[in-house]
Amino acid sequence: MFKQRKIKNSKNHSEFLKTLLHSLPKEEVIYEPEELSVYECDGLTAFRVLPLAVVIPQKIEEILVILSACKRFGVPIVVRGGGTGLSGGATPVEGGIVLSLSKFNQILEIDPINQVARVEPGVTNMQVSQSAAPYGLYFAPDPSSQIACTIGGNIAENAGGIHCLKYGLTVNNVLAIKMLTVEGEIVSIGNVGGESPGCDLLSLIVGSEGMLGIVIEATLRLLPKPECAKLVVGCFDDVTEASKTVSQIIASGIVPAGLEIMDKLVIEAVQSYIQVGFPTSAAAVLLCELDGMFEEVEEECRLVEQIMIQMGAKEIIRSKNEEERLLLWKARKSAFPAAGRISPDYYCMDGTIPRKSLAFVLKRIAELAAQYNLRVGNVFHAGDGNIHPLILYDNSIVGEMERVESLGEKILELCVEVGGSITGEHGVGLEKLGPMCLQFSLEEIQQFHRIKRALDPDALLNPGKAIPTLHRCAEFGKMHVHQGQIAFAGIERF
Amino acid sequence: MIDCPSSATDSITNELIEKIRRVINLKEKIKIIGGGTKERLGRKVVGKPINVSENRGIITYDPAELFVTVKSGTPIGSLEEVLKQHGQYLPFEPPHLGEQATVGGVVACGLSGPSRPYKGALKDYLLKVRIINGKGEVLTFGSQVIKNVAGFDLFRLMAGAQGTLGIILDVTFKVLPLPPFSTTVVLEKNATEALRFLSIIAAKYFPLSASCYYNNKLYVRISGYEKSVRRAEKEIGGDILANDHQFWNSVKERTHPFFINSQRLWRLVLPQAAPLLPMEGEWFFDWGGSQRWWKGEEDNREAIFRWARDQGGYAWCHDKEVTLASPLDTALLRIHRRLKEAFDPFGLLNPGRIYEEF
Ligand SMILES: Cc1cc2nc3c(=O)[nH]c(=O)nc-3n(C[C@H](O)[C@H](O)[C@@H](O)COP(=O)(O)OP(=O)(O)OC[C@H]3O[C@@H](n4cnc5c(N)ncnc54)[C@H](O)[C@@H]3O)c2cc1C
Ligand SMILES: Cc1cc2nc3c(=O)[nH]c(=O)nc-3n(C[C@H](O)[C@H](O)[C@H](O)COP(=O)(O)OP(=O)(O)OC[C@H]3O[C@@H](n4cnc5c(N)ncnc54)[C@H](O)[C@@H]3O)c2cc1C
Repeated sequence: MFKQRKIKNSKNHSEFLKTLLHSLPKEEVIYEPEELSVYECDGLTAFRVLPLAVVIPQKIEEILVILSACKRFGVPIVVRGGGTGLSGGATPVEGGIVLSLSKFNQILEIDPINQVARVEPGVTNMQVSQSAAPYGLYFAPDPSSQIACTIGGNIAENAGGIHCLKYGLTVNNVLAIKMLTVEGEIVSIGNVGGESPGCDLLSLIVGSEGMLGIVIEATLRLLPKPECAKLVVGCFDDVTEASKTVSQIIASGIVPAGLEIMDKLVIEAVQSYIQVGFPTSAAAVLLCELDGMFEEVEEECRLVEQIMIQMGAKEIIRSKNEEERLLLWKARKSAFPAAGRISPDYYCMDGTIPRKSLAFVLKRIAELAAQYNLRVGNVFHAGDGNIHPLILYDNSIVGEMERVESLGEKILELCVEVGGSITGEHGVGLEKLGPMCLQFSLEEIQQFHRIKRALDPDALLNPGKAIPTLHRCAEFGKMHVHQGQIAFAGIERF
Repeated sequence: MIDCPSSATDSITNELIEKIRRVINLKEKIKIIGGGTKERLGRKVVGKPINVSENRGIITYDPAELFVTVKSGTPIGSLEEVLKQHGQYLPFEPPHLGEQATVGGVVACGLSGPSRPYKGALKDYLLKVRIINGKGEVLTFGSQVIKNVAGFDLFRLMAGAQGTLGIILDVTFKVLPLPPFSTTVVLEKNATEALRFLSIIAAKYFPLSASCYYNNKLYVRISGYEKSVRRAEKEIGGDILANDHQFWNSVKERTHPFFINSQRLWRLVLPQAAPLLPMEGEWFFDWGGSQRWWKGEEDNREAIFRWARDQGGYAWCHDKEVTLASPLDTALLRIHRRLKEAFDPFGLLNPGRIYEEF
């Protein structure tokens, strides 16, 4: 499925290790295979590579020493935060090291006056909101993995969550970062005022999947906690009706704090996992969270319920108190473990489509699933068109995995066809190198490579991730290389 | 829903692309001109003028999808008019600074208006940009959906790059519904009190949408559902400002008396609660205290650049002819130069517009 790049400089691996052991405290360098295996993959377990070593520094000066050794020996570096990535971004590179930033886990400052948090990259997403809570503030981006994923990883992946539609992605909530360039220089990018001179490098670094620099500090925007939040759940007989309701709510001028859909297969799985009282007869439930001042939440709840009824909702549940609201959300948040109980394996896709295509795309996915003889459940961020089809399968059945992959590719093709994206929040990593060729032209991919070289000329930072080689696109069959004219012909292809 | 079906308008884009490519092939330096309303907002560019303002029109707009795709030469005012007809707007409230102001110029300058601290900046509402790079290639980055993490976000990089990285052909913005109700209160405060007060109200969940300070008066705009706005208005206190729309427009468009007849105008972008500049002069605070305009006698530019930097911010100095930005440190400058080379290897596009070096 994926061919690993061979590192040219392997002859010096033992010299390199010696240098690391010589310059760092012993406990910060891991190189025994059984200990290394903990780091052989991230959340995407299909790809596993043993790194040459894992380093877990405590100080910036130590990272500088590591960088300089890597540079000298030509050893690639994969930065690792929580390792929860789902696209293989933190999968080691053969012959390379994993640089774990787990010890950079301090909240440096909560500044309630300017409403910002200054944190180290290894702080978990949840920790930021917890530390800000005493001031009535929180950090809006909320990936479901928030108890385990780190701010460094959120920045690298431009992570999002349920609240994206109203409060934006990570990129909209980071004000500044300190970054180490591969040359070992510390650069400050952005500032608390929200704008800095020159080009907007901050936006370039956010979402760059650890390929352009190592984030060593972040200044995050904190928002005041809403006075009140309510969840309205509409139960529908038809997933198309639920999808159309999404557009209607948005068109009415309401921007919900969260707008999620679960289809029949997922509702059934969840109901048998925890009992939340969703009617199992429903073909789809639409969860709509409204937050703000009491008055506006009241007004919006009323409007949303009206729209749901008009659009054919058979039953409406409105949370009466915080406890009920959290219970209803728990149903949504249990969708993945619940799916894990009804199938030996599942593959969670991630793509984005325009809202107006929701009904069409869901129908097409159902048709494709039938064609491939696979079950697909849907639970997703409907408000921003970020779909997560769950393809259920059994890995022990010969050939099933290949069918799953092929169906997955078809679904992503569909996303691009309707004007969306091959990934809404999980990133490209190793997983989506092929599909990148669906979304971008030859020239666009070459432009990405030029940006990569501008910041990391020797390709030491997370090489081989996120941007496919042109050769790969040619193999993927979506891109035509004219008369063998490939840019960067000198660079290895894999 | 508006779709631009006319092939005539597409032929204008194609002609423009051909023209730009011809100039690029000759390796001529290019000075990109939109509405030409803000020459003075950067450094002088010497190059063959390429006017992009004929490339205008809305390409796609479906209000229920909350996005609009528009050609870069479209006057920003006319785009806002169309959005308004559908009860929507660009929440970053871009300054126009002249009727000719185009979408491309607004994006290239990356400027946001009074709502910026509460609703976000221009870059937060950019979803997709199609550009021509300095090699004459037509490239699209981003997409019409708000969640898209495929590839580097090269579209946001165009905001504020002032045309040094690419010529913008068309742009997709995220749009939002206009708030149903809006009001502005005015409170008597001195500058220090005003900054403190702004921090306090910003930490509450009030639907604030703008705040500025001038001459011992603090102005706070609140926008949302009438009932919530009314309660916030009561809790914040102060007098209601009549004609507030006109007032905020004068702040946004810099037609407020403070901005008139300024030979030299400083703009500082700072943390909201940063202290006052330790120099005498006249002040105007926008963005809840983050964007500070200053008119004073100080001639030592470097001292002000340094002061802004020490506060964690930066500064612009608008002189009669030119705008100078805080200098970049060596590492940042190197990154900028390399990025410029990555987009524009021959240094043809708006050379020297922001900094002499790229
Ligand atoms: C006192 C004052 C202060 C202001 N402060 C600022 C400020 O600090 N910064 C600021 O930018 N604006 C500022 N403005 C507002 C700004 O002038 C307008 O918002 C601007 O967008 C007008 O657009 P235009 O089409 O006339 O641009 P033009 O004046 O034609 O061009 C502006 C810049 O954008 C580039 N450009 C134009 N179109 C394109 C395109 N299609 N692709 C790529 N590049 C393009 C140009 O080359 C030039 O560098 C200020 C105005 C005033 C009066
Ligand atoms: C159950 C589950 C649910 C999830 N739900 C969501 C969701 O709702 N939304 C969402 O967006 N994602 C979700 N994810 C994916 C994942 O949690 C996010 O992508 C997260 O941002 C990764 O953070 P991490 O610290 O684990 O990063 P890692 O997996 O360790 O690394 C991810 C990438 O970031 C790079 N990186 C890490 N730290 C740095 C740094 N300091 N400097 C430079 N590069 C760095 C790595 O090299 C790698 O490329 C989910 C994952 C799981 C397992």
